[in-house]
Amino acid sequence: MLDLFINLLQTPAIVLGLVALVGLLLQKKKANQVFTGTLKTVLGLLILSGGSGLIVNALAPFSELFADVFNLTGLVPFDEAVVGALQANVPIIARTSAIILAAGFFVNIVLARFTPLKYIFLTGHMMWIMSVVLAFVLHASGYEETTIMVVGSILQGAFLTLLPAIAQPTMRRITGGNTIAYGHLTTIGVVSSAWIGRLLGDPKKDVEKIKLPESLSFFKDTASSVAIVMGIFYLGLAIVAGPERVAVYAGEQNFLVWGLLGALGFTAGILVLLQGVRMFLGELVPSFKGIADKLVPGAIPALDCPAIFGFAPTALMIGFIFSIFGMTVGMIVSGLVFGIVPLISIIGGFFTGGAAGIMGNATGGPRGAMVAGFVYGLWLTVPVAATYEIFDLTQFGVTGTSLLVSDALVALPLFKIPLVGIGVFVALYVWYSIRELKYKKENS
Amino acid sequence: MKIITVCGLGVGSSLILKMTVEKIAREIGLDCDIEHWDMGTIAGVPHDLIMSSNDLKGSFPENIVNIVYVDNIVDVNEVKEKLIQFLNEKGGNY
Repeated sequence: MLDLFINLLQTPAIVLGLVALVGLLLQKKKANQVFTGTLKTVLGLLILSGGSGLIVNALAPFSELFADVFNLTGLVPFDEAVVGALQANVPIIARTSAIILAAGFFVNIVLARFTPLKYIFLTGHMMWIMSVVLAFVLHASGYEETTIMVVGSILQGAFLTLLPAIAQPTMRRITGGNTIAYGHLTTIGVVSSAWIGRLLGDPKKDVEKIKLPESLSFFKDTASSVAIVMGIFYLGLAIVAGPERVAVYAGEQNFLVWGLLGALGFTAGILVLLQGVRMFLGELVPSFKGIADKLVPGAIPALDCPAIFGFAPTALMIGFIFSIFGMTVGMIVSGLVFGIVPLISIIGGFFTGGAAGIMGNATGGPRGAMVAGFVYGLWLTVPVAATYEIFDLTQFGVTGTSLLVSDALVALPLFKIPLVGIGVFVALYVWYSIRELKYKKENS
Repeated sequence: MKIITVCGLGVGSSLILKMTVEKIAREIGLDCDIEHWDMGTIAGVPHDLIMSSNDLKGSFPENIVNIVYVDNIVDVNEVKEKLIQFLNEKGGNY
C-alpha cells in the first residue's frame, strides 16, 4: 500500500496534478471543477511528453544526416522539447522539477510580499522550463534529491522574482506605466540587446511611421511558419545529401517526400506539445494567480512576451526580421567557432526577437529596434552552441535539439558551481531592489 | 455562451486574458464557458465570441466575425467595457 503511494508520488504528472488539486481547493472551486481541473493537468503533462517524443523522433534522423553531410552538429533549438524529453527520460529530474515548479512559486510569493521586488511570474511554460533546467543542472552537478528540491525551489522563486525587475525600466518606457512586467526567460537576452540598441539608436524617431508589407503578418500563424521554415531546412538537407545518403533513413521512400514528411512531423510534434502545455497550465496558472492575488497586495504580474506586442506592432516586425539576420550570422559564426550549428528558430525569432525589437525601439527608436533584433538573433544562436558541449544532453537521450532561451543558458554555467551562481545572484537581487526603491521614491 | 481567448502560441497571453474574462464574467453574472487557444488552429473551434489582443488584428480567417480585440490583457476595465459592448450589440441573446 505504501509502495503504491510512493510510486504515485514519483510520477511528475501526478505530483503536478496534486499541485493543481490544492490550488483548486484553495480557490474553493466546485467539486466537478476540482476533479476536471486535476485530471486535465495530469493529461496535459502526459500529452506534452508525447509531443516532445514526436519532436525528438523527427529530429534524430535529421541531425544524424546533418552531421554526416556537413561534418557539423546541427541543432533545432526548442526548449519545451528539451525539458519534456528530460522529464520523460530521467525520473529524478521529473520528480524534483515538479516540486521545484510548485514550491518555487511560493518562494516567488514570499519574496514579492517581503522584498521590494513585487513581481509575480505568471508565464507557466517558462516556469516549467526553468524548473526542469534547475533540476537538470543540480542533478548534473551531483547533488542528491532533497538538496535539488530545496536549493532548486529557492533558486527558481528568486530567479523568477528577479528577472522581471531587470526588464522593468524598459517595460515602463513601453507601457507608460508600472502595471505589467515582462515574465519570460529571454529577459537577459532582450534587455542586453535593447541596451546595445540604445547605444546606436535615436529614441526620438518614431518606428510606427515605417510601413511594412502586410504579408509579413503571415508569420503570426505558428503552425504554418514553422512548417515552412523546417520544410526549407529538411528539403535543403535532403537535396544536398542526395537520394543515396537519405535512403539510409528513408528506405523505400523518395528522398524529397522524406524531407517533407520530416518537417511536417516536427511541426505536428510542436502542435501536440503545445496542446499538452495548454492543458497542463490551464488550471495551474489560474490557481497560482488566485493565491498570489490573496497574499501579495500591489503585486505586478509578469506576463508572456505577447503582452507588449500591441504597444509597437511595427517594432515587433522589425525585431523579428533583424533577429533572422542575426541568427543567420550567428549560425555561421557558431559553425566556424564551435562546429555546432543552431538552426534558425522561427518561434524564437517571431516572439522573442519581436520583443527585443519593441524594447530596442523604446530605448533607441527604429535603429535601436533593428540593432536589438540583430543582437538578439546572435543570442539565439551563439550561446546555444557555446553551452552545448558543456552540458551534454545526449547522454540523457535528448538529441538534435537544445535549450534556446537566454536566461536558461545563462543559468546553466552560472549554477554549475552553485555557490558562485548564488553569490552573483544575491548581488543582482540587492542591486535591483535598490533601483526599485529609488523608482518608488521618485514616483510617489 | 462559449468564449475563446486567443494568442499566437495559445499557452501564455491567451490564458492570462482568459483569467481576466473569467473574473469579469463572474462579476456581471455572464454564464459562459471560456477556453484559451492558439491562432493557427482556431478555425475549427466552435465559439460564440473570440477575444484576442490588438497585435493579432487582421490575422484571423475571414469567416470569423465575432472578435473583440483588447489593448491590455490584464486591464479589467477595458476588457469589461468591450465585452459588454459586444453583448449589447448582440441584443442580449446570450
